[in-house]
Amino acid sequence: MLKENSMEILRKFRDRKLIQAVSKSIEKIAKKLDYVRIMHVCGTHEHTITFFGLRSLLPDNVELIAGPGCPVCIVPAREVDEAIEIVFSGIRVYTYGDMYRVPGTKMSLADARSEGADVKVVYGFNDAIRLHMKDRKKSVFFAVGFETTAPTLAAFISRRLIPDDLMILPSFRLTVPIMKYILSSFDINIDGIICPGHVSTIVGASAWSFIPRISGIPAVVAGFEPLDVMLAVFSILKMILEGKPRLVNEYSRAVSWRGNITAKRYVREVFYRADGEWRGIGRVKRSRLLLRKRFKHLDARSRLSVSVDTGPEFKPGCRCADIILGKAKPTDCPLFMRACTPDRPQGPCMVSSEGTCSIWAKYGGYERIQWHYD
Amino acid sequence: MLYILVIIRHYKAHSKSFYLTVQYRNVCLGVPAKIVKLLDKNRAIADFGGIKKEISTILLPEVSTGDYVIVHAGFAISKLSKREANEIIASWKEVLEVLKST
Ligand code: SF4
Repeated sequence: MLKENSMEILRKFRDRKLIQAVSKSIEKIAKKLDYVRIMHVCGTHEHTITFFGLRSLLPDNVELIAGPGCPVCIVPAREVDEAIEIVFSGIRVYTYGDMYRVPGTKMSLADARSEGADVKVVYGFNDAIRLHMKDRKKSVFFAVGFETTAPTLAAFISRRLIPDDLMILPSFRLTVPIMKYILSSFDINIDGIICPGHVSTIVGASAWSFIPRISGIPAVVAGFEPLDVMLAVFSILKMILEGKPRLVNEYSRAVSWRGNITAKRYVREVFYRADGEWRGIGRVKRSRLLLRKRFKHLDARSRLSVSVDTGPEFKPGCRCADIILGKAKPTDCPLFMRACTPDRPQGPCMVSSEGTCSIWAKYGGYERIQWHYD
Repeated sequence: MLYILVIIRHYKAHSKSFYLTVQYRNVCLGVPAKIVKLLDKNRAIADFGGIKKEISTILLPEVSTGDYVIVHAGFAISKLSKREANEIIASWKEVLEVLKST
């Protein structure tokens, strides 16, 4: 159904000859290098890599690691519990489809709904508003996401387009601070970074310039077609070989140096940054967005005084915490595809369609396809 | 070599469904679309490779009909530049050529 005329702009990014050529060039460079670990921090990149089997097109000494790229996997169980408490108090909760099935300490919003609570899944904040105008019921929007999602709410809040009786439960997290956190923690060795393309359309390529400057490793802002990812890998290897780490914007067709100024302005006006908990990771400095004082009347936390106890973040045996940080692969988890499957998920990485476990489960469940076909 | 072929076949077979899976399963992803009609109140109709859907242009006020955009959770967040898309490929092609001949 991908019509040629509407997507012709993208066709070349799946050109098989080009991809093969890049693959060969990567092989040539990789021969001159030791083991290279490249991390990306975006669920969509993991999707492209696994879906198109790109790991199989890379030499054995080049590893692609999935970092914390799934915004719903890293929402602490505690915040899911808050949404569940709200919905059980008789208030409707809107949220995204991915968040719907993520477990809190006891249950998920999907479980709450099967017990009769009023949970509505929406595609975007504008859909929630549309539904709210129709039903006019006291509701809360459980808002999760990275830098890309926050402006979609901020724009409506800033322009006073939020209807009465619709409150916000913000659980946004930011990828730029988590990247700084990962790069400064000593137990993960990374030789190059593929920066998240869509986050970058908002924050701008410039937001990542600290990577080569402070950590001294190459960084490439990449798009989501197979050729984009292959070119990013190629360019990272080349910079390593030359010993000149830089920031390269491969996704210049969508990402500018300064990003989406309108969106950034809205976010700055409506939210402030605070330290935030990440599921499986812990507290990360200035990584969370909360509503500013003058918008407190929209904040479900202050208006409804929700209070929840803390509980376990993961089920026993689940290795999501390591998988989110790129320290382990789904296949390292003893439960993967045994006790834990997309139909019976045991941890957030399997629940969310952007979680690494779920993506691996859907498109094979192994790292390199040729093992399977051999 | 054989496995490269297998993989190419693998993604050729799947590539058509790629955006559709991405678009309807995942809320937090971005997908390319073409603006086919501008509506009032910062709204527009976008064409996702054959499927038309209303989106918000509040984050991209300068958008006009015929533009390609990246849509995230129902909002256009960035314009796709055709010129950049062509130029970037051209620039990489050169790199590859140089590499092949060495
Ligand atoms: S496979 Fe399931 S149990 Fe294992 S880490 Fe992933 S989500 Fe957790």
